[in-house]
Amino acid sequence: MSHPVEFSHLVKKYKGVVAVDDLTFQISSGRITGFLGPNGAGKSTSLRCLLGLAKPTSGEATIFGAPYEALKNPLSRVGVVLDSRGFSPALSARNNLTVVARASGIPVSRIGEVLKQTEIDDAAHRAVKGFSLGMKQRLSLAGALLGDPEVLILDEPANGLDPAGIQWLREFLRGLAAEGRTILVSSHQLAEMQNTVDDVVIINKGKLVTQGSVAEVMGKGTLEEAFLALTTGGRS
Amino acid sequence: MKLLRSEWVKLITSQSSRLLLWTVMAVSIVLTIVSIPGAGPDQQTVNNLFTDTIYLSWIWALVLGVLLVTNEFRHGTAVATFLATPKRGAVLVSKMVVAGIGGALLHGVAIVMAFITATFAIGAIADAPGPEISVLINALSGLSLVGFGNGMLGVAVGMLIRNQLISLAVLFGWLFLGESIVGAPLGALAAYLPAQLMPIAVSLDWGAVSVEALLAFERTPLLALILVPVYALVVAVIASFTTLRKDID
Repeated sequence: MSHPVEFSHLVKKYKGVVAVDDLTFQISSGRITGFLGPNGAGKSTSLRCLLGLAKPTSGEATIFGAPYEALKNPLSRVGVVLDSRGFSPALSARNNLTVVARASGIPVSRIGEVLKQTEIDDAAHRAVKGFSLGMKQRLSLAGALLGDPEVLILDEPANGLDPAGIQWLREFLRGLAAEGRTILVSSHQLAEMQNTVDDVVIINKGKLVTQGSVAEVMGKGTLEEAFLALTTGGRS
Repeated sequence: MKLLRSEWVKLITSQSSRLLLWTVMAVSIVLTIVSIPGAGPDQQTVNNLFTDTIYLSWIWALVLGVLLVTNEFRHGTAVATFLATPKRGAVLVSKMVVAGIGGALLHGVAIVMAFITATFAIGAIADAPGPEISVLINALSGLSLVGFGNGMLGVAVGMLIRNQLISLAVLFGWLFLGESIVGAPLGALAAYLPAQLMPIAVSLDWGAVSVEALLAFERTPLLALILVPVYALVVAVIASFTTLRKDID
């Protein structure tokens, strides 16, 4: 089984504060991997290092064996959702995606497809500043899918989604995985993760705590119980 | 090319660009109207009525350039930009080129609005001659070329500082105050600093262009037009070795 995403002894410090501490793990191709950890565990920082937005203090994080910045037409290979910001508020959903498509050499014909796929095609011509958080998340997902990528990196994609939206997201991710895509998704929604992901990576205070299939990590309990036991010593 | 197209789409679709365009048009009209009482029947004052706007309008492309970069950090779209194009230097160069073109066009709009307003005004002045065509060509080309360099400079400063308000404050603080303080000990060299060059650059007179004067490094409009983009490149190089290497938020 190949490993399209690898973290190798990744360290990231901010003014002496260690955000990510010697993080090493790999994710497997064609599976959904949950990237879990308490607030401030270093999940977003790790993903930003992976995507070339933050420079590692030492170590490396690679996609397809290379740093993100070395990828040619990266959005055609890696789709990214980092947060619900990242859109010009005055532009319509379609125009925001047009900017991304133009910069990436992606045909603009893809825009209609991904807006339909994420079920916000009705709002394609509305300014993003009028979008709810849930609609912005769907637009972020649409942007991630523009290049029809093999790998998806999603940081808290369920933020702002209502229960129906979360259920939609679960089915959406399962559908993407069924197409053979590799998905790394960070989230706080442990019950939801349990039903969505194949594998989990749990980090705490910047360090890897455990990695394995959901079944292995949960044992006989729930993912939430396992998570709390591993990150807080069993307190709930 | 795809990066240039993307930056161009950002420029022409952004709300701040549209707002700036309306502001430029309005200010240009107002400045020309304010000059009407001074426009007499003689040729010089008529020419001035058509072209006086150039002495303020050189600031617009600077604002455009700053906004093109700092809006990205303000709205968080910088993340999407650098995910699509991880080579940060390429993004900087593309923004400079697009802001240069946009700045030239914006300044062109400013002077054309002044021409239109002045044309209406001149009809009300008895025995007033028409403007000299060469004066109009000089003003249009001078201001537009300044727009190209200033757009680039605005981008470079915006990339160096990232914060929108601070970028604008630093840029105009330097041009209208800081340069005169810093330049004082430089003596004659102070005349070659950006704030001194920009008003000269807009006074381009194609009939007086001299290669000899350029080679002698005389402070002519042509030299000023060349030096402003050079300053933009210097700031861009500083940005590429400093803030452009920092983490993107």
